Amino acid sequence: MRLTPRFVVVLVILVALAGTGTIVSTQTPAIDRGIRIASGASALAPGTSDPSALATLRSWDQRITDMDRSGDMQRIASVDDAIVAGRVQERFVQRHRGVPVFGGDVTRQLNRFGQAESVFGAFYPDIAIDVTPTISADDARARLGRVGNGTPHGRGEVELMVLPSSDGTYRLTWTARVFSSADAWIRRVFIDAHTGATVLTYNDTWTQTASVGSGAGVLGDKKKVMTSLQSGKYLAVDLMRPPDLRTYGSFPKGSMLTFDLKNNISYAVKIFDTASPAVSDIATDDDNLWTDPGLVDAHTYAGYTYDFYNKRFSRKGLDNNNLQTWTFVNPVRAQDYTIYYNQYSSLFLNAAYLGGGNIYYGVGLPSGVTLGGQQWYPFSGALDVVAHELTHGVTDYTSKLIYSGESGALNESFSDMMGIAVEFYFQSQGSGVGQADWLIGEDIARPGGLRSAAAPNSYGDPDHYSLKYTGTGDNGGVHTNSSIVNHMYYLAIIGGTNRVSKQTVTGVGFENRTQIENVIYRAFTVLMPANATFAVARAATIQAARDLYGANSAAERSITQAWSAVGVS
Amino acid sequence: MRRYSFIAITLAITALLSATAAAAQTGAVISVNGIYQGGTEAVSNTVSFTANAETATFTSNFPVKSGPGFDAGLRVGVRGAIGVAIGITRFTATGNADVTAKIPHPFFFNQPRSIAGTANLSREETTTRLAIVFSSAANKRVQVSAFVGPAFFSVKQTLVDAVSYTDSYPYDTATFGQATTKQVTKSKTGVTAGAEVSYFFAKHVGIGLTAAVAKATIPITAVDGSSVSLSAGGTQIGAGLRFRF
Repeated sequence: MRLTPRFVVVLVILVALAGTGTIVSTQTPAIDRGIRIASGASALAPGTSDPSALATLRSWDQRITDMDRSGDMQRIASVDDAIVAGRVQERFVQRHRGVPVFGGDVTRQLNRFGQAESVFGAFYPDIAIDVTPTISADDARARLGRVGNGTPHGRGEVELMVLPSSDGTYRLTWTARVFSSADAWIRRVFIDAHTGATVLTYNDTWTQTASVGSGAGVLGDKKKVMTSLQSGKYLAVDLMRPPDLRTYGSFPKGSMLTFDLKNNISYAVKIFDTASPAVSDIATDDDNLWTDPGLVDAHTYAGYTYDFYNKRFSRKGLDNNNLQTWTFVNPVRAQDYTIYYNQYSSLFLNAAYLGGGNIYYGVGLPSGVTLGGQQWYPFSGALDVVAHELTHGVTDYTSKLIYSGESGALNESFSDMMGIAVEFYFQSQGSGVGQADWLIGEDIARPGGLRSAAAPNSYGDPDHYSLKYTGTGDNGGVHTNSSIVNHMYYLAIIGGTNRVSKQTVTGVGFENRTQIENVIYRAFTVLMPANATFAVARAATIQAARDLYGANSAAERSITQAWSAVGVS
Repeated sequence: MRRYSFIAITLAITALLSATAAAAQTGAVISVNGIYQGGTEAVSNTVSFTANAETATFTSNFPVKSGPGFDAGLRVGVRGAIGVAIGITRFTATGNADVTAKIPHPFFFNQPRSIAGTANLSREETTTRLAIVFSSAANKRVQVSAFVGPAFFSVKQTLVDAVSYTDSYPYDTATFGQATTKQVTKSKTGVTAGAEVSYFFAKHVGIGLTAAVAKATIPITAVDGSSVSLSAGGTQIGAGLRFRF
């Protein structure tokens, strides 16, 4: 708790200034974070042979004993000193007519003869208020919960308290520590016990420190995991990104939280429905050596994707305002696929952006179980898949491309293209798992992955507009027809000849791929309307290329040729 | 440094040759010298610690440069040309150490950020010697002597104890903050040998030149438990007063 250490520090400093035997009679106790309560009379008498100091010590010793008897002080602890033999350490809290006084707190150290060796603390001597509340405890509980956006938490829950004010007056209050599941903070809230008005609130989450752990991902690759240390446990809460945008009273804006749904499918479905996980659902670890590969990758890759957008496009998170991102893993056990797959196939073989910065990842299938000739691993195990889902979040806060028909295919394609870009940004180029290539999801659907930007036709997807899926399935082919745009992206960078049109494209070259990435990002986040068609996308990307690199630039030529090659004019 | 060693050895040989034909030397001589300790030794210290779930290192390199010192001694004749001597030499050096560190990236393994700065370090050497002396008096005014014996070194060396740095998102670079230091004291016995020439312009007072070599290698323990080897002492030349009784 922050109050006590600072309180003691204040007194210790005064001892040093005053010198042995000097009595410090007043001080101003302060609560952390700039919240102050009123000055109170206090006593400090270090063990000394100075007659004056000794007299004051004896005086305070007697006052405390008297107040203990009268009920103005309540002894809440009396323990043998574990370090200095023969000493007894006592702690008292002040009460006014039985009601505790916030900040009224004294410690007394007794020697082997029962004499006071020291007294430290603050005592408020002039309280004269009635302690009968107008508001009931139950009413207060509800009000405190509303103010703190949560539920009164911990022992005592709701407590009547005399609160000293900075103007020297006192108020009877109801107080509680309120735990908010919305942002995982605990707040100390005081409301007036007569009027219900909020008197004081402050963040009362005692310790939380950014920490760096480690763990192996789905591919067995060891990586660093950004966590936070709270109450002796490590939480999958990334406080490192971005550190400069801390918002008081909540987790830092932009922090990434990973929730472990502990394979409880009904709970997972409820969470996805309401987007209201409990703080206890945040994945935890005792030693910061994380052992759940899917969780490690989901949490870590979310950070990588943030970094990519930030470094490449100076974007701050999904909403460009460091929206907090919640990732959900382990919605179901993979081995329960025989029970749940028919009803909840997406919790096994899918990942989804739920809106509002919330993403979940399917768990794949058990080892040895294949589908379509492929082994399916936790979907968070592929960097391009994670970047794909988070890019849906970018779309959510920019173009809002309608998830149907051509605009839906553009929505999917933007996620695929950025997923590929993120892979190339962080991984070395190659054709194996864990390497950057033009496939989507090759790390979690093995062998082969889900789609190919280089050769869509080999996956049964159209690589030319003339082959566009025109049915109603898949929201009008949002995943199928995205391949036409993906292939345009590939041709604009690498170049080549379209299989159908036979048109040849001169790409900007792999080493200049950032030009096309920048063009795509600008077009899809700035220029594109929600109901864009492929033709609009062509025009928007050509405009973006001109904006960024000039008319008739290599980027514009490549983009133009690539759209034409895939049949979009 | 080699030149100083040559002078010392030459003086010692001269003194020993002279001693063979010398008259017996009795009495005592107190010497007080200002000295110049030659030779530059670099104290290099690499410390490992854990940062961002990985091993970080910092290395400090402190050149203990040549510099002035103080020496005092008492020489007493025992028999013939042979005597014994005790003495104390004090040498201090301060200066900036170059400090470099590799701080692991918080997000990625094997992508350390390099930082560099300086730290002000110091060396204090106090050497107590006990030597056997061979003395020769060329005449009433000039006396040449050589000595050899153990030297007891007490060295106080400040080492870099920790390095602070600052970084911020995206953490691709870090900035050196400051280095905190800690003084380590260690003693060890080494050897000393040298020679001196004294010229007494009065019955009891004179001046003298001295040249000596005193050396010891002293292992000390760094903050991470690793051992750092200090080379204490060096070649010393000095001049000062002589008081004969």
